[in-house]
Amino acid sequence: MTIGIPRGLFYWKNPYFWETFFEILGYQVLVSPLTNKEIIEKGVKAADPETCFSNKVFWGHLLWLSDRADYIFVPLLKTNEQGLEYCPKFFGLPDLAKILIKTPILTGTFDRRKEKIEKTLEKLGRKLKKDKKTIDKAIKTAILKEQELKEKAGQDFFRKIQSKKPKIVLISHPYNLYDEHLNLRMKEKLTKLEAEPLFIDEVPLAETQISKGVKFGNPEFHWEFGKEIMRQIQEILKYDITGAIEISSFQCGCDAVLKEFVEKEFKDRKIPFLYLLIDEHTADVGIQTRLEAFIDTL
Amino acid sequence: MKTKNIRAFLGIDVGSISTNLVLIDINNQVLSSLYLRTQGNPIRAVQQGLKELRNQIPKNTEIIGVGATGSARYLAGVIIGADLIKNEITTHAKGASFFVPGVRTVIEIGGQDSKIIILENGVVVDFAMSLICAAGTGAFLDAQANRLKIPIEEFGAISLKSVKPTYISGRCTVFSESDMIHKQQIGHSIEDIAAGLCHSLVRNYFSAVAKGKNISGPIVFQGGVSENLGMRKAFELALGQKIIVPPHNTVIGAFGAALLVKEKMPEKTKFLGFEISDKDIKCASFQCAGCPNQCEVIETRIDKKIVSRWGDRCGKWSAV
Repeated sequence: MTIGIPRGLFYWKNPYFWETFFEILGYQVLVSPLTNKEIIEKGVKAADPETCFSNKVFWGHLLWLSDRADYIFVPLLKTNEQGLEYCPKFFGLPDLAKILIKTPILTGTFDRRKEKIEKTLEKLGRKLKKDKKTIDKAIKTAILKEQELKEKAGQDFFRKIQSKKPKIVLISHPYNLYDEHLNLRMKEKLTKLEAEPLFIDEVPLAETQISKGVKFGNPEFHWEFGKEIMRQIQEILKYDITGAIEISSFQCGCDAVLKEFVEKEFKDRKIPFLYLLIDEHTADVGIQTRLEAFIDTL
Repeated sequence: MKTKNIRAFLGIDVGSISTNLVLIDINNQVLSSLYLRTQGNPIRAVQQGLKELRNQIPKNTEIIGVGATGSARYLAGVIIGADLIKNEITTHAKGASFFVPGVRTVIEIGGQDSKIIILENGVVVDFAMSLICAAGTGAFLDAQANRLKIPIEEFGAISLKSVKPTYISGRCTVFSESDMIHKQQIGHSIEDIAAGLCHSLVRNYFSAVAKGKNISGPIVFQGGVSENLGMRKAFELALGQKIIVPPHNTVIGAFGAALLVKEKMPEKTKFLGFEISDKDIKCASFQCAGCPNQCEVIETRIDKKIVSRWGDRCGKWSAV
């Protein structure tokens, strides 16, 4: 039996975590391919026109999987370990997925304010009629896999931060940063312009900072990613950074609020800052012009 | 007796609305400048521009460097043979600083986008360009002038006659039209409406483009829209200080590109010659079916010979 995982939105929050979990449970896992034009077209056609571009792309991934998997996994991510809420658009994903396609949707509500992640995963495993031992092993392996990736990202970060090239921090949600088609290959473009791009979520955070109750910035953000990004910014500002670029998905309501605070952090420290909006248009001339000009200002 | 050649640098700025060419000599003096409408065909505009330029300049002019800028700079660079391809922020800043050393703010409003550039000691430190909407650009004024049946060239002068500018919403050209019609119907004069439109464009510029930017003098206003006297006045009123419209204000991006290529001083120019204007240049795009990326590949042919391809991600087409 094959479990499909759409490579969009929630996937990039914990890459490899879900596929590892289901593989250990004994399933064949099919993650939809990297975003391409075909996926975007499918998504844009199906999605509500008022949602953000990243959301539209997600539906494309789901549709791509619809006749290729027996089940499609779409979790309901409600709150993270600090009890902060995910983007409201994440809440509707499983229900909307059920309307959109006939393939059965496998889901679970991850509300860590109410329940530990291990508990929710266990329930999910039981739904699939797996025994406790297998489920425990799957949870453990998935968590280990995630830690391993984080450590590697941390090592990469320290290597990149040593670079002599201008170091540009890219700030956005993981689903915008890691989906190269969606962000019009921003990383590649910056590398060609002889800069060293760094992703904001690569900056390693000390354990103490992750614990509950530590305040970052003013105001406190209600959303998980808002707080997360502000915290990561505080951390990255400890290093020698040449410039910062915030990438926002057109029509993202949360980013509209967040943007001002992100910009202020860099502007206050006189670090060049650029704000870019990504949308359905495929011509990247506009982005290219802005990036070139930005590099010229450094 | 053989006369000495005049050595010159060419800057070309190909934008969505206009295509501009500026020729300067080694002392930065403008020998010739041209402003043409792109009219949706950048290749023809470049060819036409070269043809007209050739007729304007002495026969013994030798072009020893070419700089291309504007949103079609890569395309223009390929067909003309550019030594330098530079984004329009940098070229506009360069042009403005040449005429107004110490300039701190550049307001540039073109056909389909507008920019603000902040400089400190001649170096660009911050900038912004209009995002996905063309409100706050020349296109907005063009559309409204057309509805009022005023030629855009006379728009500024008409608006200056206004005593009390009408308040017109400027957030969106579509809504602005209905607002404008209502104001006409309740009896506002055409002069007041024209002035009102200038003010609404300025408001839009400050809220969409220049938001949060530290605007301080000297302020330079350039780009096609800076020709409009009503716009100059509206900006001065909004900013409460004088703004400077530099010489060659409508072609200053091309001028900046010429200055930059002069600084770079290419050993041997890649310029393909004025003959380009008589050649058959075709651009075509096709969708590569090699993988799900479905890249849009652009291909340029000069006299049926492929000279350049771009747009593919894997490089299988761009390696001509």
